[in-house]
Amino acid sequence: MEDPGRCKKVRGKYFMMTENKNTVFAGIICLAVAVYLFTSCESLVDYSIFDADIDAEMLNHSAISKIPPVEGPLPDTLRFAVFSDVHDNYDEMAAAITSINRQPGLKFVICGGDITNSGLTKEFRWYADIMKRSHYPLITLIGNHDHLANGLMIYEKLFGNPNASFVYGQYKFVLFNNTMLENYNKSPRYQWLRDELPDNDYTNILISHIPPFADEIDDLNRMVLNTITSSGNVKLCIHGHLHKFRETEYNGIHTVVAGDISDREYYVVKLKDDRALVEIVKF
Amino acid sequence: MIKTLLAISMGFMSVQEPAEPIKDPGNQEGKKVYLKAQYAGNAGLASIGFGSFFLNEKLMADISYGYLPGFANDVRVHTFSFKPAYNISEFTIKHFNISPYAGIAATWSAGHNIYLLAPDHYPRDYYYGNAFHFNPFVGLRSGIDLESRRLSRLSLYAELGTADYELLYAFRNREIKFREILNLCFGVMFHLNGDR
Repeated sequence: MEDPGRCKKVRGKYFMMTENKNTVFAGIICLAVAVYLFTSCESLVDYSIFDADIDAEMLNHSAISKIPPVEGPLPDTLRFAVFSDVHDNYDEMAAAITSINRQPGLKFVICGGDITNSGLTKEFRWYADIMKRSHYPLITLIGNHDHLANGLMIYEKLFGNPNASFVYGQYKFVLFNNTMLENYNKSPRYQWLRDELPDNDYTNILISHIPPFADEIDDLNRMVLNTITSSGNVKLCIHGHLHKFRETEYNGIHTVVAGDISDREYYVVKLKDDRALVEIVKF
Repeated sequence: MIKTLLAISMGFMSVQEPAEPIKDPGNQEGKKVYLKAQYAGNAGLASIGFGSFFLNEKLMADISYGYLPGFANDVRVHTFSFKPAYNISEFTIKHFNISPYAGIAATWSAGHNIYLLAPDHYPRDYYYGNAFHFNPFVGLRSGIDLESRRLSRLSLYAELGTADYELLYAFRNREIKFREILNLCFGVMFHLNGDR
């Protein structure tokens, strides 16, 4: 037993006397400082991996507004780059952005979705940190994986509405969210798509993550989608999701499926009139 | 930030004179069971739980419930945690009992679009559940004995942790820096007095 002078007996038990109040005081001060530092450093505070702690940046709106306007006569060709299905391959994505930045004469870049594995905030943040290195405006589609957990809410905060469109010269680009399973089996917004794809003077380019011929699209939805696109002057469809590059004609429309970024390739699409030429670029 | 905290901890410890712990043989059993409350640490905005020490206080384990309310960042998440930990060492400086420890928390979360098994509308084996995760952590606990009838010791702790997928991504990607996968939490433990 310690020196009895330092201890106090309470109800038959020995307890230590607080003989150095300065020590306790110093401890409280240190803890107060630590708590202050902790709470002032936001990046170290994680309430849940499923939270939606991300700034509303509306990156797609910002990217579309930065696409250089067409000045003077319409150019003969339009060039843009496409990559897709980043998931957790951040090193490959960074390498792709570096390579795309070296491409001359691109107007913008499109990512075909699935920028996360599980729709988690940190996954979105890591993607956004890398995409901001792009010298060209980068527009990001939502993929089926990006709907998991609270991914749709996080996507809307970070990028804006998953259904969007923009016009460049004679071309109208329509970004369509056709995820169903991960979105509580909700029907995609077909009426919006029908309204965005009028059979008019524009040459329409439809970009959606899941190809209409993928297994996840049931027959009814496939029929609705095909009916809308075939009547909407769509000359090119661009998709991701299948993790393997494919260029084909589906429903009478030139269709390109981008492979995933871990294949270490992206695609430069050259549009001239109603025709598209797709170049595979390895990096 | 982390360096600052470590510096504060080390500085605080270095000003104390080493001394033998005050032994109270009759009071050891009373420190085995504890209640705890924690801020952050992937267990909700705040969490509460209870646990116990085992194997001569070499191991401890607790279960806790945490809640992330909607006002914090727009989503509501319930988190249930089971946290076993190994007490790496234990020493006393003046009246402070210091113990570094390490462990892996198993967490089960419930909330929007979070599930243990994929819902029925998914094709079979399409997805694994996303509700269950492992969160490794290291911690430092500092306690002081109390002259209370109900509490034998009050401890404060800080833990540096990460999540399983973050650790995996950091190993796979040089783009993800180690500091980006860390999170820090604080908590308090109330060691209950045994009824003897």
